[in-house]
Amino acid sequence: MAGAIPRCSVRHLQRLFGSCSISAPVRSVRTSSGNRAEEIVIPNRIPRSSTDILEALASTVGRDSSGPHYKYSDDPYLTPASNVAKRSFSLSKESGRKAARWIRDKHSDLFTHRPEDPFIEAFYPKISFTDESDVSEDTLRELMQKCMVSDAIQVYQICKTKGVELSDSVRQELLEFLGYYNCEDALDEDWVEERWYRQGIMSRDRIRNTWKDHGLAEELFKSLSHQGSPAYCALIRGMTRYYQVDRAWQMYQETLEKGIPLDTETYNSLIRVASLMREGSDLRWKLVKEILTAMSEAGVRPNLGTLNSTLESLSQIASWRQTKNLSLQVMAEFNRLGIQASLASYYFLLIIHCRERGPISHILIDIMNHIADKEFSIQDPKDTFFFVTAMDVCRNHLHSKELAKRVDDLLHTGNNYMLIGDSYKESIYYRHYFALSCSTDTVDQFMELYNELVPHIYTPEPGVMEELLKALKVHEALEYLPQLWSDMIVFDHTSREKLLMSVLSAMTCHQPSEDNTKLTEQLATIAWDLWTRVQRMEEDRRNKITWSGPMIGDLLTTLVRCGEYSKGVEVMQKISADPHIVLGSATVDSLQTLLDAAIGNDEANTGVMVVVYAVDAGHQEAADMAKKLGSSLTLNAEHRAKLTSVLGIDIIADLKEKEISES
Amino acid sequence: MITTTTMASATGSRCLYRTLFHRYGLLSRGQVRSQCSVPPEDGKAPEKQESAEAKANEKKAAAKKKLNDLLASLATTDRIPVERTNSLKLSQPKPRQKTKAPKTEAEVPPPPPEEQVIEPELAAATKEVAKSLGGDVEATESELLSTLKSHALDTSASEKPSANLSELFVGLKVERSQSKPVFERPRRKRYDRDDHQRMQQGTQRPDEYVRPTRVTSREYVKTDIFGGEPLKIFSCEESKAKEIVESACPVWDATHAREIQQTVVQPPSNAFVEMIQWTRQGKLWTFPIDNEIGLEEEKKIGFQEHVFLEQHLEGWCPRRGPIRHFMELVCTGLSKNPYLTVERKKAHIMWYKNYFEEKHDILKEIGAIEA
Repeated sequence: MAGAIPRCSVRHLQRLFGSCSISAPVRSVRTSSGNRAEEIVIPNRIPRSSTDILEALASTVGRDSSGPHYKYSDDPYLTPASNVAKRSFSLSKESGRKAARWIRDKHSDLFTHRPEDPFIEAFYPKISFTDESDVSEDTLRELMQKCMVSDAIQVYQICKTKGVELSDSVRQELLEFLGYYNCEDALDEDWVEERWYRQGIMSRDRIRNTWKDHGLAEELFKSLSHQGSPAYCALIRGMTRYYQVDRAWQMYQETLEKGIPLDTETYNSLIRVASLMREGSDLRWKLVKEILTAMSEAGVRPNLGTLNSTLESLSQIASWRQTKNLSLQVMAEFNRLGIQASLASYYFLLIIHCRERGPISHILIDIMNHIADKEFSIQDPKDTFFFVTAMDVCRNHLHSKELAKRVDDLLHTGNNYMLIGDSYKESIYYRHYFALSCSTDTVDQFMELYNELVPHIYTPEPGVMEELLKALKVHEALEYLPQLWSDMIVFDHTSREKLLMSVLSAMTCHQPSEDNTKLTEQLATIAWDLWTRVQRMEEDRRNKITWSGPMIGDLLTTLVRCGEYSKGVEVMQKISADPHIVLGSATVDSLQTLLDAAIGNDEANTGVMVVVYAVDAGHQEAADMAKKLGSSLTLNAEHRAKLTSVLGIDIIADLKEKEISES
Repeated sequence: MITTTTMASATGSRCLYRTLFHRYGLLSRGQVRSQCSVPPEDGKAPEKQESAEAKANEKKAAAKKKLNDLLASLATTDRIPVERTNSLKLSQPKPRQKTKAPKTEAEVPPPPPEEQVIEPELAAATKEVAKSLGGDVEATESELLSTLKSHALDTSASEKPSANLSELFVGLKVERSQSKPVFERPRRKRYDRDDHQRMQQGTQRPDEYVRPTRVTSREYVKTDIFGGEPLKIFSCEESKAKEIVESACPVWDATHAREIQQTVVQPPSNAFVEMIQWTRQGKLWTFPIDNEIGLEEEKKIGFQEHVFLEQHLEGWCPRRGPIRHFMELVCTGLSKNPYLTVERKKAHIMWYKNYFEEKHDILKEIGAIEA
């Protein structure tokens, strides 16, 4: 993967060095000076931005799936593998930066040494404002440029108290700015990790009215000497963005009455929330159509945002029968207007057409036919939802590995990977991809994918791991179990009961033979490691694992079968000494396996222990087991007494009598 | 006493109906109740008829009769005497889907055998019904079960629920006191939460969706994503002719552009990407390396102004003597200094000018300046 230069990088390099072709003709002119002089065409200078060279260089470096991400220390011992470790590692690193910045801003008087030239603003404390600060419109504009919401509010207040006259244009700008952020501070652009890990949580409960009623934005609106179109647009956009739907609609009616024109983006924002204003699918759609017609009548030109908002409204009434048809009509309408759909449009189409309980729609295939091999850039905030949803559809709706591969190829085309969104979406994306591959591919194919992505690109969640273990059991591909077990240790999965159960039950499928002695040894090691790990857990641990009957049975069976008889006995001793550590009791099959092994090893002590345990556990087969023990091994008086006391009758004597009578 | 036994038999049959309802979505809950619980005031004629029979027969027979009535009416009557209105007709499945169905149906592999087995719930309910009927319990049960089994096979692949309903009862020997014409009407196959909500909202009757399509349409059905009938709200000519309406809120748009750009920023994946990030933040020398970066003001000033500074001595400095000598040394020193701007160099020279003017008297006294 890292060896081949991606196609996009070739393009980059061509763009950079395309002009260099001049060098070849020049040389040829010099060497053959006597011949006819070739015309030298000097190409025009191509202006380059300061990052072009770096971008070309960066594009030659592919993602190396065999190594950790660049942000982690390049030290195998410190490389995080589990999801929790990855998260805490990244966030702690950023947290350190945050702490440093906090100190810098808190004690700005200490950072006055300025040796560098030119001056680098990013390295110096941000300017803090007090009531005495000298502020002006320019200060406000600069703060808006730097996206500092609370500082801008503070400066505005200072201007008000000091009586600094603010023009209508700066008020309008501030209104737009505060409307966009709802007077709340935005996350600093430097905190990439926080944003990377936060977005998944943020997007869950979004639809709630959070608009600050009668806040500063509205105060600014009122303070404008002339409330024209821009002011109304800004306020309506702000209200719809934070779901103050009723008042936004009221404002819209006001503009209709006063004949104030609105711009495209404002109409879009109204369409986006249209479904919150009406009950019932047909009424909602009617409202959307109403707004679209109003746009058309006002001569406002629709754009991509209009398409996406319309589809978003439709996606909220996706269970309505006509929605699917309507969504295609909308697509056709905007296609006719020459508006290119973005990934967000396709995302909404997927939501509308591929319903969880609806009929199967193959629209994703058509979408993929349309957008394969294309490069995308972000145009709509919802663009980042496409890939994860598409993979979800591949897995849960169409069950098509082939299609999933196509989606994955698209994701790795050009810079499309940046549209994966955030860590949350990325991990869901891979979860679906993995689970799909697990259920459709052969084990070998699947493990190939596993080896490529795990652990540096993706760490399987416990649920995925469980499915994986089950697949291994079904395909009897136990040769991969040692690898998975070591991964599970690294991923911190060994304290999950379900996973341990799956491991144990998979291991019982193993049939030791001459060919797989190494695997047999490995499995025995795993079984013993598993036992010691669980035993080592502290008692007060919150999720302490309790052994269940089947689990301990599987453990015993595996240990005995894989030739670790003595360890099996050790486990047996432990569970017969403390029966309470097992919920229920070991299965009969496992006890019988152990008994057979005890007989094979000529250990009467163990045999008696197994029988006694079986009796205590209430297994009906205990008597048969005792008979078997009695007939195969010679028991001393103590053993006989023990058996007699638990069984109530002297089985050995019975046996002997029987033998005598038979003979 | 009679009512209690009928109730008892009714509970058994209610179980069956509930299971039927859950599995095939044949009835709504209300209908089941009205059919099964049989309140005493529910129709006096059959009650009397039954009580006459009860006198003659045993209680069991009455119960059996009741159930038979029930089963017969279920198969023969159109339960809800609701007129089909136009709106209901509108919400019927589209013809396109109907034509599609048989084609895809042919491709369905028969469902795996484990799906054909009657669910344990259903089996238990059947047993109860058989018991409540009395007589040859096992025979009745097996009869019921076999019918259900064949029915289960059909429903899993079939599109027509109404036919199956009557099929279910064909094999049952139900005594029919009266026969009514059988009206077939499409019934809802499934009852899901979404539908329930829509029903409560009083909107469309949702019957377009049937589960079998999910199983059947595994084959690729092409959807032309741009092939729909356009809405014809906007007209192309108009949008071309009109000037693009500029956004009324430039600051909003800029902020929005910046925010959505930030949603796709990922932690740098290699050192080059990190350098790009630092360059954008102004922390790094920009490529290609230029050591005069940040000196834009200085670029406007020529080299000669930095080097030839004697011109600033004209007019105040004596032509010869120690002060001239000193000031020439100052100029030479300044002309070699790369760290000062021309302004500061001039200011330096002017400082000396002022200094010497202040000391004019002393300088004159000691003869440093010519009189």
